[in-house]
Amino acid sequence: MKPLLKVVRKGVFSSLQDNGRFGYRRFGIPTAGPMDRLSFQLGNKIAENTKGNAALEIFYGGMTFQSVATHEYILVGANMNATVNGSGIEPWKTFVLKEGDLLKLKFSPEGAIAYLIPLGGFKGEEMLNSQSTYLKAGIGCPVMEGIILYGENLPPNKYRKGLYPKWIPSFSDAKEVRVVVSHHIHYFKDQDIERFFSSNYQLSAGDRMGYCLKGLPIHTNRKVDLLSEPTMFGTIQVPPNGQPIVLMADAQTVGGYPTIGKIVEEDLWKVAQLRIGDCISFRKETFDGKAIYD
Amino acid sequence: MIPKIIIQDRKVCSFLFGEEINGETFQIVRAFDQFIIERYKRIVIESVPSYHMVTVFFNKSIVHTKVLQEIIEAWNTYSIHLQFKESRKVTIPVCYETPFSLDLARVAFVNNLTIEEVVEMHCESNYTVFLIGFLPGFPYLGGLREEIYCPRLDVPRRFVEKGSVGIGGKQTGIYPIDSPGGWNIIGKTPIPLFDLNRTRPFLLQAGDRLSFKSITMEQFQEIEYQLKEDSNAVIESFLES
Repeated sequence: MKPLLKVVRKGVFSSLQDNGRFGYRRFGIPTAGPMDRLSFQLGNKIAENTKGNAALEIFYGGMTFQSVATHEYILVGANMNATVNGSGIEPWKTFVLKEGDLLKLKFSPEGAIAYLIPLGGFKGEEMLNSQSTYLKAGIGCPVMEGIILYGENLPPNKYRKGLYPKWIPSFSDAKEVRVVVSHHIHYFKDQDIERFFSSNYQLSAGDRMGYCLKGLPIHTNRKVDLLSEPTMFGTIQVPPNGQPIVLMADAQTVGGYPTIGKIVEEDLWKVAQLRIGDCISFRKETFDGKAIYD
Repeated sequence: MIPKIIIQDRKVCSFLFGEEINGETFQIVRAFDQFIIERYKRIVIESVPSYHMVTVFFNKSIVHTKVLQEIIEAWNTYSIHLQFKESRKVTIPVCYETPFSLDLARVAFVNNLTIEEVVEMHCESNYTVFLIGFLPGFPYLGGLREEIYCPRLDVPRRFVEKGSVGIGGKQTGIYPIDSPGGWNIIGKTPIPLFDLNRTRPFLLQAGDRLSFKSITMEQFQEIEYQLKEDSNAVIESFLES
């Protein structure tokens, strides 16, 4: 283990995330892990890290690091217009920082989250078989100015590696994601379900626990009193005000609100990368050509 | 009992065994949870039991496969000879004295009881841990006596100390970590439900039988002291299988 980076400016919010914490949902501990698993996995793959090495997940940018050792990194996800000692670097391509170098992330024009991944991953404290930060349970520590991030003692590779530009995921606005309809669907008004699947919803607020959407409200036929049941990353809850909330990576493991559906795993990265004000629309996922609860 | 299958995603599926809180349904939920974990280790990442449902996270797609059909057929055979596993019994010591019993007088007043009667009734019942969630390690307990039901506070507290024991409507529970909360706080346990530094980080699991035992402030402090000396040993002493 060696010290890699000192956090000079902490930006909006960042946290250390590995592949996730599995096996503890029954104890009320969510999986956590990357919000945009696609970028996370691609980044680790390019860095030739074995699947699931810890990355620094960075919301909205605005961070500055000072390098304290020579090491190779990759910055993936939303393009944060990063610079090293003032010169721009290409995203989705590995780069080397030498001792004293200043890595600056500005703000992303599109997409919300970037992953900074060193060769070998960052090294945080492992709790319940994972290094993923989950502050609510006191797991991991907040990224503050002055802290040092540690990693593996690995020399940089001889050549830099990157992703073909055409393979870089696009984080532009107006997205459609697929939704598996919930078994609560019958509690909702027919015309409201119709509206949900045919109109746009706008992100009004969000964090690692949940993304709040704003749009045409969806209401239940009558007041429903549900038993709490397991929820997961992608579950779309509808509280009494009719404005949907998408549960994200750190969301509580059970919930009592009626749900309209679950966003399919393959599309969750699109939701994660929404910025406040961005729009999203929903399409029914029909695994075998017909909706599951019609 | 054949559950209703609810596809949540390509790799996630819930098995629904009923629509209400019911001791028998919950026993079946527990048995199915055990069954799926033991028999399908190779394809199951984890499962979450709740009142009436078991949600299973698989490591591969289960749509367009025979996996679910096989599970149901195997369960059908297995559940004919179902024997319910004995639950663990856990006794939680609670100090119902000031300054811990912030809303004990309110619970007594609402139900036209004395404080002593409320404490007695809270300690007399045998509870079942139906579900863990809301907060890490937070148990949803069933079995609260009707005489001490009490509506939640109109304005939730911004800060409820970890270990606080509360009544929220028809439920009672214990806050495993400091948190905002709207339940009526009637006491506090010195036993941490959740401690990452322990061999057993989570004291409770779904299916446990639980009872409360009233302790004095002196006993509360004594247990706190013992926990500092050897928390693992103290925790084991409150578990009885």
